[in-house]
Amino acid sequence: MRARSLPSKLFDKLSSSKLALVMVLLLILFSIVGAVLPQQGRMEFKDIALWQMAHPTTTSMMRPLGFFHVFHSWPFIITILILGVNTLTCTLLRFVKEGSFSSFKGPGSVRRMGFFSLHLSLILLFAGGFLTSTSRMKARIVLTEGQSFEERHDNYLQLVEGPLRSERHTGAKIRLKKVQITYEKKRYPVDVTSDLEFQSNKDTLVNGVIKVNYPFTYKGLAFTQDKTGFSPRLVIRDKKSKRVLFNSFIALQTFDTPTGKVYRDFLSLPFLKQTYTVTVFPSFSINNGKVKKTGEDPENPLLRIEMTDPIRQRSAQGNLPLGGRIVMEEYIFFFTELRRWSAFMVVQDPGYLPVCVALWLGLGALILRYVPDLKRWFVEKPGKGRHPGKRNP
Amino acid sequence: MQQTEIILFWMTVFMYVAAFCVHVFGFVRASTRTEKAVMRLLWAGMVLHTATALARWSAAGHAPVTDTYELNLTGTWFTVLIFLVFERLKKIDRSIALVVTPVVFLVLGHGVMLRSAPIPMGTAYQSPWLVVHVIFAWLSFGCFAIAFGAAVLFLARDRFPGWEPITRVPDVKGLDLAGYRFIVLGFINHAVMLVSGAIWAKKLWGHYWSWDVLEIWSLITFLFYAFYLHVRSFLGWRMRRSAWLTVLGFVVLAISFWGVQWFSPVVRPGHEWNERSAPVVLKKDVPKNTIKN
Repeated sequence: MRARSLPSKLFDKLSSSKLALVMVLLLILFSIVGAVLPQQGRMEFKDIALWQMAHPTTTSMMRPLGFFHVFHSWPFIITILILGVNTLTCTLLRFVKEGSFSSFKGPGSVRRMGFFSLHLSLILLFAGGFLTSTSRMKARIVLTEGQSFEERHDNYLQLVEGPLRSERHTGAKIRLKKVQITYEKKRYPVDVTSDLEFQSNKDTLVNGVIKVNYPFTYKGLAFTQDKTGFSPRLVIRDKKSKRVLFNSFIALQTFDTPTGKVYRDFLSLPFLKQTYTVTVFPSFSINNGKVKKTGEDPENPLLRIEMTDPIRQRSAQGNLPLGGRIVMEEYIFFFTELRRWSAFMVVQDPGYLPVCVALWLGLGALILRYVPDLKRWFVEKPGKGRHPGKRNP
Repeated sequence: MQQTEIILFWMTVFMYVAAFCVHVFGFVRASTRTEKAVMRLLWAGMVLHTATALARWSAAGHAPVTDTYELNLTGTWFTVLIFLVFERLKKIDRSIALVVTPVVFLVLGHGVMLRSAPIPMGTAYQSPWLVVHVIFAWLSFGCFAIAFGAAVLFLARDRFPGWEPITRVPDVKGLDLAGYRFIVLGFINHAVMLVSGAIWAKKLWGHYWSWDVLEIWSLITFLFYAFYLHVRSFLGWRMRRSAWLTVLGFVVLAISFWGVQWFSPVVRPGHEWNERSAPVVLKKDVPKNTIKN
């Protein structure tokens, strides 16, 4: 007997079903690690650091393996690669062994077709996943009504680009015209719609409507609706000289609290000598001197400015209706306008199409693979008992 | 309406508990006569369960699929429905209800502990893909729960072969086969759930997979059952090994449905688009370009 060559042995090992099982078990293990340990990209760095300080032993073991970013770690990528190669070789080997296309004829052909389609879909899924992780662009933009944005690399927030993606951008101008939110019971948003305008250098103006769950695609970039909030326009003047120090919109953070949304932020303006916090009440009522929010629609807005001066240990608070003014320390604040801001996720993902095809193909293949088993179950007649299996008397 | 819903809910739980008690009584006394009463009680429970879900639907103004209470209510409804339909078709044995019924009322009990007043459906949930996603998630749960029931009975029969009541359940081969078939059904439904979830995520966030904790646990469950099917096909792991894997699979499934927050550094359950609230927009993030009035 002739001894088998090394490539042949390697090919056998790579195409073995036992290897596939080991790889699936490893994937389960990595996924559990990813679900249990705090992961970069999903949690803030400071939260991860706090967790690591509280669990020093686990951290010292897990950090060298890259388990705090497990789905981008080398052990995970290698596992996926081996599983991909294993699936490919196993499918090819079986395809050749079973007489290539002639295996799709005769008894058991549906099962075989299911088996091959399932493995083909897995290979396509790996390819799509690879394309996504290497060529995808994902970023955020935040626009206040009326604000424009130029689609350039530097203008995006939280931009993530795959290493194989080219730096090319459309340079299109995007303008947020209007944000409309419909509320139920004055509190729960049931519809969020953003009207946008898109224009490239030579192209005509394109209007786009984006709703939650209904993205808009412009030149391959998919815009999806994200959070919304309020941008009050503040004018700040110096009390003595009356000089305008600031005149702009400020996109306030939106906090979800058990009593509803809170729109609040600090004024981090370098010229301010004290700490100022701004809160917007879209609609309000005053009861016993206390301001209470009555709804999320900006029908009757109020701006609250809170000042704290830790050095001189002083604090003050003032409420401004729309168009109102208030004097605090050495500044005069004017609340002149209230608009909404809207955030969008901008994604370009060349891997989605192969993944989508793989998912549907995989579903079809699963059905083909297991339909004969299930068919047998449904056509077989029940035994004398109430179960197809033998039942003891 | 909420009062009606609460009354109907407790009547449903009572019916299921009664069915279980009667079943245990009949099982221990090795009597087959009580089984008819069990099935009647389960059907009555199912009718009341449907009425509870409809009452909740009417009060909330949308299908009961948003919070844990509503999801548990819908999920257990699917589980009981699958069991009753397959029992009616004579494809499974009634004795599996001995395991499935307590699972159902325990899940209902867990849901009612977290019950909150109905609220309008959030914008993220207003997608046709949500319907597909939730229905198939619970169909898969129902199938896996029945497979778990068959596996528990298998292990009991295997462990206590001489105990008289257990000898009345189907033989081990029948239980093994029933467990496998329900896992196949559940696996296909779970795959549809994952695919519809990916499409929904793409439309909602712009990307089909974001490695959030709930997604990861769904993937773990899927991989685990894929592992089960693989070892059964290629390594011939059947009977006892297969039953233990089914039990373990159900534990993983239960974690992915309810226990995610126990094993996660992020304490809140649910997909993360519900969680990202505060730190998303900072004024310094606003691009420095002109604001046109």
